[in-house]
Order: sequence, then C-alpha cells, then structure tokens
Amino acid sequence: VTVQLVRAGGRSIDVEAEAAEDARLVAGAAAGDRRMFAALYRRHLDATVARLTRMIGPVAERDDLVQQIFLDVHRALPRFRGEARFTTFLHRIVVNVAYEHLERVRRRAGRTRSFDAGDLDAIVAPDASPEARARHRQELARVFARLDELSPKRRVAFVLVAVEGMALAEAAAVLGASPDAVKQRVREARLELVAAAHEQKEPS
Amino acid sequence: MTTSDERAEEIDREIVEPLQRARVGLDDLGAARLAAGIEAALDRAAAAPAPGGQRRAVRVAGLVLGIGAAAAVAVVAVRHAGRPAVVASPAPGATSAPGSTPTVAAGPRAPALLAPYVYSGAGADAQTLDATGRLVVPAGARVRAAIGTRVRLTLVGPGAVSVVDPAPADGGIELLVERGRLFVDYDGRGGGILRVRSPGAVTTVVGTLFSVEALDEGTRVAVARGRVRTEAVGTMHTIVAGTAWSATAGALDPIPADVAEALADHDASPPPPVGEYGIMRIDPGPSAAGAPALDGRALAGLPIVARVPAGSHVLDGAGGRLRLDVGGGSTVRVDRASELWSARAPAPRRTALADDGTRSAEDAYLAAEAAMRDGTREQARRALEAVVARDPGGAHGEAALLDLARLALEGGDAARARRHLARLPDPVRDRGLAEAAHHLRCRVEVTLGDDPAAAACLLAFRHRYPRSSHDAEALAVLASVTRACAAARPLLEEYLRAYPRGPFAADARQRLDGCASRSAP
Repeated sequence: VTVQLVRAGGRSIDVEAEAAEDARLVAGAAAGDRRMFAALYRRHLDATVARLTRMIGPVAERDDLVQQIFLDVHRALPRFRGEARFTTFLHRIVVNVAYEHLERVRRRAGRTRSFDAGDLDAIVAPDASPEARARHRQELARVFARLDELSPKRRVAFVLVAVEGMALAEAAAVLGASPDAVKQRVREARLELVAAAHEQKEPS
Repeated sequence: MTTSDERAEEIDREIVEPLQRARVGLDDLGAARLAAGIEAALDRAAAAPAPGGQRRAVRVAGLVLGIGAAAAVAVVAVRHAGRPAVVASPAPGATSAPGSTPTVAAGPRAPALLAPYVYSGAGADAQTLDATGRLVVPAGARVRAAIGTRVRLTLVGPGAVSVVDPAPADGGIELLVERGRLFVDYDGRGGGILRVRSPGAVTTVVGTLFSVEALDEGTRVAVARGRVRTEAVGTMHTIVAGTAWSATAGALDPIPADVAEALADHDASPPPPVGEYGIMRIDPGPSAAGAPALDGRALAGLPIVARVPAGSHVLDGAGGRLRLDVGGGSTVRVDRASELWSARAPAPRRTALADDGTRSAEDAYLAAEAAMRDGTREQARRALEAVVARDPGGAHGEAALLDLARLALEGGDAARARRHLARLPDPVRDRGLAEAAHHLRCRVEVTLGDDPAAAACLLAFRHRYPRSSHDAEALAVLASVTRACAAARPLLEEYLRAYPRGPFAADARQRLDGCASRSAP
C-alpha cells in the first residue's frame, strides 16, 4: 500500500487513510445511515464551499447551492461504485452545480454582475487592516468581473487548474474531459483574460 | 522574459493571487449554520419522496410537506405553534381537492398559481378562493394567497397582481403588481429567485419579508427582513431590512409606520391550512358589532371567506361564542341570523377535568388545556401526562410533552424541562410544533447555562426557521452565549443591521463597544 503524504495548510494528510475513511462513511451513508452521511459532509463541507466560492463568487445563493450539492450527493450515493475517490465524485457534483449556476446567470442577466462591498467583505481576510481589506475587496471585485466574462467551461477549468493548482489529470477526471481538452480550456481562459485586461488598459 | 511569461505573471498577479488569498472557507459559525441547513434540506427531501432522482423533483420536494396531517393535528398545530412553518394549499402546477393529496404535475413547468386562502371585504364568496393566475381586489378588500409553499402574500385593494407566464426557466417565480399594496414573505431556501415587477421597477428576492406597492406616485419597496435588489431606470438599489426605497424619493428611508404595521400583520397572519380543510364564511351581524375572532385571532373586515383546517374551532363574536365544526370539503356559513351575533349564544362545551377513561386523545388534551388554564400546575401536569400516556408518539402526545416542558421551565425546573423534551423526537413529527419545540430546547439550554449546547441549538434554530418571530431574541441570545468577541462581533452586527431598534440593540452596541476597546492597542 502506497501512502501519500500531502502538505495542506501546514499539516500532513495521509491521502490513503482519508480515502479509506471516506469509503467507510460512504458505505454507511449509502445504506441509509444519516449519521454517517452527516460525518461525510462535515468532512468535506469547508473544501466544497471554498471551491464553489472560487468558481462562482460569494453569491447570495451560495448556501442554497451547497445544500443542493449535498442533496445531490446523498441521492447519488447508492450509484457510487467507488471506481474513483469520493472527493473526485464530490468535485464532479460541485462542478456541475457551478456550471448550472453560471449558465443560469448568463441566460438571465446576459451581462456581468457586480458584487457589493458586503458580499466581498465576507471573503477578505478578517484580521487585515481596513486599508488592506478595502484593497483586497477591490481586487476581488475586478477578479470576479473578469471571470464573469469567461464561458463557464473555461472559467471552471481555469479555477481548478490555475487557482487551485489541481493536476491536469485530476481536473480532467473531475470535468469529464481529456487532459488535453482541459489544458486547452485553461490556455484559452488565460488568453481571454489577458486580452480583456489589455482592452481595459488601452481603450481604443 | 518573454511576452507570454509576462502575460502569465500578469494573470497570476491580478486574478490568481487575489483569489488564492480570499478567505473562501467557513468559520465555525458558518459551518454550523450550513450543516444545519443541509440537515433541514435532507429532512425536507425525506418528507417528500422525490421520483426518478430528478433535480426538479428535489426542488418541489418541500411542496408537499405534512399533507397527511389529520384535522385534529392541524387544530393542535394552530393552537400551539407560535409561528408554524409556512405550508400552502395547492402547490404550483399541482392539483388538489379538499382531503386529497396534491400531486405535482410532470413534464414542462406549469405556471405557478395564486391560491387565495383568506378574502375579506366586499365581494367575498367561495369563488374568490379559487386558484388563479391573476388576483384583483377592490378598494377596502384584502386577500391572502400562497404560491406553493414558498410564497405567501397579502394584497390590499384596490389592487391587482398576476403571475407572469411562462415561468422563468431558472425555477423562479415572477409576479407583476399592476396596482395596490403587496406584502410578501418568500422562502428562497428551496432554490430559485422571486422577481416582482411593478411600474418602473423590478425587485429581485432570494428570501425575505418585504412589500412592493404600486402607488399613484410610483413604486415603493420596503424590506422587513433580509434584503432585496430593485432595478429602476437602469440603476440597481440594494434595500436592506428596516428601509424602504421609493421611485419618488429615489433614496433609502426608514420604513413608513403604516407599511411596517402591514408587514408585521402579514407576518403574524396564520398560514394556509395543511391537509383537510373546509370553507368558512362569515357575514356581518345585524348591528355594527366588532369583528369576530377565530381561535383567539381577530378576523378583520367582514364579510370574510377563508379556508380553515377541518376540525373544531372557537368563534368569538359580539354576542357570544360558537363552536364551529368544519368538515373537510364542507362550507360553514355564519350569517346575520347566526347565534354568533346573539347575546344568548351558548358557550362552547367545556370538557370535565376528570378522566373517565373513555375520552379520545383530543378530548384528553382539551381537558389538559382546561387544567392549564384554570387548574393548578400539578393538575395540569397530571392531565398532560395522561395525554402522553394515551397518545404516545402521536400529535397530542407531542403537544402535551411540549406543554410539560414549558410548565417545568416556567416552574424553574430546567432540568426536568430538558427531560421532557428529550422524550420528543428531534425534529418533532408534527411540523406545526417543530419550531416551538426547537425554540424551547434552546431556552432550556440557555437556562441551564450550557453555552456550547445553547449556541449550537440557536444556530440550528435560526437556520431552520429564518423567518421565526423568535429570530431577534435567538440572535441576541446567541451573541450573548458566544463569549469570544471575534465570534460574537458578526452576530452583534447582524442583530443591529436586522433589528436596529430591537429590544437588545442597546446591549448589542454596548458589547460591540466593549469588544472594540479591548482590541484597541
């Protein structure tokens, strides 16, 4: 048995042990044990919220979408055969929910939205100085405005790979695409973001 | 350095790094809140079997809660729940007849229907309670209606409101206020957004209590809880709790007193009946006597026609009191000749306190109620224990346990109250009692001084019942049992935002000042 140790936020994680614990909880939850399912979602709640927030921003519907993710997981568990890690299975659902939300927003608004200071205040570092918080809020407002210009597919791929540092192979498994396709989406996203930035700096 | 490297660095600096630095995870409070929300969502999904594993099925899962509740249960629920969960009669796209279980239509999304459940004022008759796509009320009249389980509204005439058809593809609901004053509470937890169009404005809501008035001088929007966004003349306005925006002022002002009063009235009004119901119609009496009260709640504006849960009700009028037995699917009419308007009307039958061993659970509960009202605490306790013994696990038994816990707490025995509550399932089966039971559990933990248990209980309560009339108190108590300033500060700030003139506002400001001075260098 190969035990992988990954540094995450300054602590070591035994990936195999984590996966084994997930598998135990999944088996119990799939058999209808609500406590097992509660333990499962509590383990993954923080990472799920973080990933979803990076993809869609601190939108008002975020908590509802998180609930939807875990309801989808709960419903799909009996069909989860364990071919992939539970985290991959979960991230697929997160990505699907994010896609649907981003598509819905595009269809509905047909233009970019903006977050107000209250929305963004929730995701800036709470212990920074007021000036640093204001600066970070402005940066994030710009970040989400520029991400809003990307297609949902490119946006999600870009966040997974460029922001979260996910390996292409893993991102491909989560996105249900080939590694080459994911690489291409990230590249196109970068080009689009650069072009948009230059357009803003040098208006014709 | 090549141009492409520079570009990559630029993207990293401007996009990737700020996003990596963002605090996108959850703090303990946020995690507990979300976990409670997921639990509640799982409860809702479990209460309404979702066919075929389709997402749409989950979205409508909350629409058919508690349909099988018996009439007696509904009576107990109305009697006990401080603010029962909002449940409606026909759901959008649903068909139901009195006494039957509504079924959700399959296939393309059907337009939502406005299902009136109380109409008061000129023109009140049974037809005014028919589900419709457009409601019109004349001056002086008022109608309360539901759209599924998520929207409950009061339209004050002269007014007209309609559901925009086709429904938005995003699963939301869109209303058009042509004229009149519309007071709405919307539960957005099931997903989807409510949009309200009015002259010159579009208001977008995720979940809140608010009003949209289409007045002669233009649209006015006021928010009592949560916040909404209103777009008018290409500008987006965010309207937060306690404020109102109007097209004429073009700015945010405190909510006018009459609007605040109307919002509070809407919020406190009983929800539509669950399960079997009948129609009650009351015409004015021969003299200009005051409005009657049904089960202790005043009925404004006669004539009135309303859906009421099947079962026994007490109607108090100017001249006396009537016991109103409403059968499922039946219509009960109280007209000018009714005993209600006569001083000689007999008082309702009082149930004897003594248990003759043959009473039904409902009769036993009525006896216990009489004991709580007229007898000693010990008599009440014995009568309630008799109900629990007669109806263990049933609606009356649950209600009796709740009353036992309440009596114990009022008597200063919080430990005993906790033991009574421990005998109740969590959540209780009777949804009408669930909020009251949860609130009492939290009060018990607070009284016992178990701060972590109280905080967890209050967090879950606020998540499960965000529109509760106990919310202000729950938030204030949650802040007070949260000892650390860092954790308490957002709660105190939330309290002051939501209830700037609330009973705990002064305390909240004082504590915030204390926290600020402690953290100052």
